[in-house]
Amino acid sequence: MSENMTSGQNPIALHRALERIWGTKPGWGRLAAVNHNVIGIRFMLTALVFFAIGGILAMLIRTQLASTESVFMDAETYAQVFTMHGSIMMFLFAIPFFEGMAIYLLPKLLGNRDLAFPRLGAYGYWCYLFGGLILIGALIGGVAPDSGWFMYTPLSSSVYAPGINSDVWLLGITFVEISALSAAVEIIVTIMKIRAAGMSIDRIPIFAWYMLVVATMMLVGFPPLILGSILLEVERAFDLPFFDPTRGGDPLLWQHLFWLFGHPEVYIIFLPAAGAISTILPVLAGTPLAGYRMIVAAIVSMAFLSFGLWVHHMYTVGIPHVALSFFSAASALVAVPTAIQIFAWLATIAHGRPRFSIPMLHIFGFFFVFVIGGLTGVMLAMVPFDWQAHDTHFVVAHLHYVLVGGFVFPMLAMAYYWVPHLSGKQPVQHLSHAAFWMVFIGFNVAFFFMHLTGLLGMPRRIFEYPSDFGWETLNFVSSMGSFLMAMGFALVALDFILLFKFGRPFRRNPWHAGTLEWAMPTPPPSYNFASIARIDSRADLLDPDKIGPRLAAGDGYLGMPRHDRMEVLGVDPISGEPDQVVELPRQTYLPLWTALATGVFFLLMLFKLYWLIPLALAAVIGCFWLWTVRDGSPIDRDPVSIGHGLKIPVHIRAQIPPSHLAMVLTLVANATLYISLLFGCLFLWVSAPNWPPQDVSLDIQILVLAAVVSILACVGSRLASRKTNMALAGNALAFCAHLLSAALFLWVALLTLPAPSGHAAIASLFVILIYAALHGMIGAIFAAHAIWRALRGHDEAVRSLDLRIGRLWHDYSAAAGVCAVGFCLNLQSLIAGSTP
Amino acid sequence: MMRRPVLIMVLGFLVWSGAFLGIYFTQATACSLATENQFLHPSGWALRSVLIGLFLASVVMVVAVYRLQRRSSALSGDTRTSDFLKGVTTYVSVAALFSTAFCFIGVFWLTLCAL
Amino acid sequence: MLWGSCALFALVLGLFLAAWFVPDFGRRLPPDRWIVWGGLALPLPVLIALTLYAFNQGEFLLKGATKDTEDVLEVRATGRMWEWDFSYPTLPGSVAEPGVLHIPAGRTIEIVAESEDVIHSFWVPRLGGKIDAVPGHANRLRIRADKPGRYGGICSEYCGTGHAGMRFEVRAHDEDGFVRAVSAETSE
Repeated sequence: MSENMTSGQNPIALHRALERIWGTKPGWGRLAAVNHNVIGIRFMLTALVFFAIGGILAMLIRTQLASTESVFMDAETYAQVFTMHGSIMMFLFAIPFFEGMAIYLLPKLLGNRDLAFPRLGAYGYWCYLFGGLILIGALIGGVAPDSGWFMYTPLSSSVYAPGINSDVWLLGITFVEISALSAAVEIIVTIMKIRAAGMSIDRIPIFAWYMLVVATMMLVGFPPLILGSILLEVERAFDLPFFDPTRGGDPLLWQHLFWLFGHPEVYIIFLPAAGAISTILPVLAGTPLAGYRMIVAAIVSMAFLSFGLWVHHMYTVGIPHVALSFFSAASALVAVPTAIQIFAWLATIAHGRPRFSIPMLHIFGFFFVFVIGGLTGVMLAMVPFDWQAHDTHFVVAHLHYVLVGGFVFPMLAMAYYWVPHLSGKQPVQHLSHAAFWMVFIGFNVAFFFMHLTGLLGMPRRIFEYPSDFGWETLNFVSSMGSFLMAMGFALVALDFILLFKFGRPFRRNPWHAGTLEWAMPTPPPSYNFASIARIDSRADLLDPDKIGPRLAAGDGYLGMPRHDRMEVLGVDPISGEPDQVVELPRQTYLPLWTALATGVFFLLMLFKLYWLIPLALAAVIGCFWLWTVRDGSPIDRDPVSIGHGLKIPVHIRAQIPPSHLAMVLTLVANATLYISLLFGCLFLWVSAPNWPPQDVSLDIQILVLAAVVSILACVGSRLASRKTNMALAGNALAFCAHLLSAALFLWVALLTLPAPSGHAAIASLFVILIYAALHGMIGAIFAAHAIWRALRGHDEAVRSLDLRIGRLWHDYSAAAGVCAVGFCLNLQSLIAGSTP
Repeated sequence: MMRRPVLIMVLGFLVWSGAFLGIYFTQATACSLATENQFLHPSGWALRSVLIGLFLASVVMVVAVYRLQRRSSALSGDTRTSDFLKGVTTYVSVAALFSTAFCFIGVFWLTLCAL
Repeated sequence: MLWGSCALFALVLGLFLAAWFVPDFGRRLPPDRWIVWGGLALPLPVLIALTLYAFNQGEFLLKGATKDTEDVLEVRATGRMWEWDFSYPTLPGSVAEPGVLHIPAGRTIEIVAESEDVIHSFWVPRLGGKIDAVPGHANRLRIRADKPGRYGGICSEYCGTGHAGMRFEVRAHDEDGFVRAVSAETSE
């Protein structure tokens, strides 16, 4: 540490005082937990339970396929099993596991006390848990989704899947995705704002760079899938024919929306694991990571390229060759950033003196398996080869090499590396070697031979195959390999149980790492650091053994508990200089109640009790409103001292507080959804059969009026924030304008349009108008909140944060309304132009 | 102030994304209209020259972005941080330029529409 | 492609093991050079060459793997749960039995794949290529059997519980045999 810090207080007293504020209460109080340690561990444990369930399903699949014409499962059961295996591993294991890991690790690596939005993290966890339970409940009840994990319509539509199965997938997965989006917002804001002092953008740990990129990808990758799920669920529930070719819909729209999410998803899963390797490998090699800048540039480029290759899952759907070539070229290019990382790691090993250790062994497993997966990936990116191998077991082998190589082996490496941090104990390592080799050999036996099975022409997703095709021996070998791998995983689990029971305690920093998460006692206290460090070199080249004791003695910033508040340090994203003290909300049951209300909404949708849904929505909105009520307490108007003679403002008075940034990010995700919706409707116009529709009559005057009124709402909110004495009048104007524009949009959508179930064009217009109306209604809620604050006499000139956040929404919803009207008019004229 | 350097960093790839959407959308729309409109017919030169024009325009735009970044004030300065940002921005922009030039090269000779 | 992949795999893994176990291996090469040589100079030429080759190969396959693009026989393949139907729109009066596709050997066949219900995919592994039958769309694929014989075909897109059994057979005949096969059907 560079500065001369003030002399310490009694570390034990400081610890007690902080633990009282930050700690999770025992008993029922656990349900009110918001602490990132608790939430992160819950995420990871829950994900591991789902991993075990998904693994058992995989064993069932391999048992079925081990012999020809097996009678172990019938086609219906097999369909549920393989659909759930894919869905669980993707949505309930891989993504939540690394979210949990990021939630647990990020604040520690960044040298701060917690994430930016503890309640949002807790809410995300409950959504994940309840959504997962819905899916598992369906599996136990025998009504699990059965149309494949990518749910292609029309097989998943109400005509060919009349049961509840597909609804379970659409609603359950969307519920789980709330947690992915909330985690994305939370991770981005935390990495931007909540760091140690002096941690400028060129000093943040490499893992944080990876997570920043991943979270941004999640923010724009998930909305297309959520949109697709909403549209398909709306088709199933209310018969709006987005995907029905007989009424102007197109099944290919689903494929585009799904893979626009689905391919970035692979990199979303791979990059956190790569980030862990970039963190662990230099420590094990005893040398700094080679090529920090090049790696940052590589992952940023990769994030973009990965959005330009979704169609490589759709080479066989009849898209013209020139269009395929764009995606094929992008698929080939995306291998380059990966190669850059691989060679940066090789250079790191070459320049260090690698220790032989269990994490290193798993990194070896990663290299071996992932490189094979990458090479088969390049083969599949080539259109002619893919035309042959598409939808065969070759693809199954490839994707398992990529995902197990790119995620599971690095995950095991980081588990062996960080579990000592989590438990405060070091492994005994009797089983670790045997477990690794069993998983490694089992995996390769199972999946290497699957390449051959695929090249021999065995398609995916068949529950039986005749004996005369020569597939049986290879399948039997694959099954044996997979059983060996399963035993290996059981051994890994046992190894960790033994570690928690009998591991040897240690003092600090067993790996001699240079990152801040080791500058704290292990297992970590709820508040991480008793005071917050100022760092003066890259955050993976520090000396935790020196920094740790000084921070524990309160020698850094914020080393004094104040007003029973949970305080963290907010910094400028580029320079890393402290610019605000962020006061976090304390432990609360609100996230649980809100998630329960959200769950009730999804269950009502699932059981088709639509008349009760307004009540559930009101409950969700009410709960969220309660989140904001306690903010804005009237003390601490002036800048507060953080120690070492520094005084900085509290976040509600800062220029860019975390919540403002979060609102911007939420709107980015929302805009992605909206743009996908508009492009989706245009896509139907371009591609779908049975166009144009017979009759599209829009009430143009009312629509233009609605757009003008929604602009008035922005004017109102601007008036309110410009002059303090106008707060009430301006917000009242915004409130009325929002309600009026929403009413006008609803009027056009519900009363003047022809029946939306008649044609996808009308259904598209209907959904776009409803989207605009919904934004008006939410805008009215924001305005009502502002009016309530003005009536309670809040001094809006000083504490304008809530108003500024509201203004972002007002502006966005006005833009969305204008776009909606413009788009509807354009679509109408396009249709009129193409009518013969 | 805060997010600008990062936004400037990815500007080249934002152009790439826009070009991707623009070229793909133009090609798909033209193919869908081609059955009625002889001018757009894939065997004709019109569609291919429009696509080639879009392709060249996007390459020029990425180059323009690169020159803009060199002169941008957000990345100037001699501190360690701005040096880092400058370095990463250069790498990313070169990657964007290469990606733009390579991804759409097929417009020159590959089959335009599946008719 | 296979041997190239094997070579690259051996190279990367060899470097990994050498860097791990051989002291001082690769230490003379600065890290930036490692990255530039391995991460850019190695993959880029390979990828560019491969992609361009694949573009041209794809273009060739699209035209039915032949220079002769005039003499093409169109066959309509209609998928439904869970069987395939074939018909010959350009041969009036011909009828085909369900699940069997008769084709003349040595001639390019253009399959027009359609679906009556959900998405299916037409695939004859030994004749190469596959094309999805998407309801509402008519997708085209050119195949060609050089020798007379029987070739197995399957549906390769999951289409419900009968997916595994949705097979068909392609019988390639010489020119006379083909005419007999499609007209013999009518007399039966």
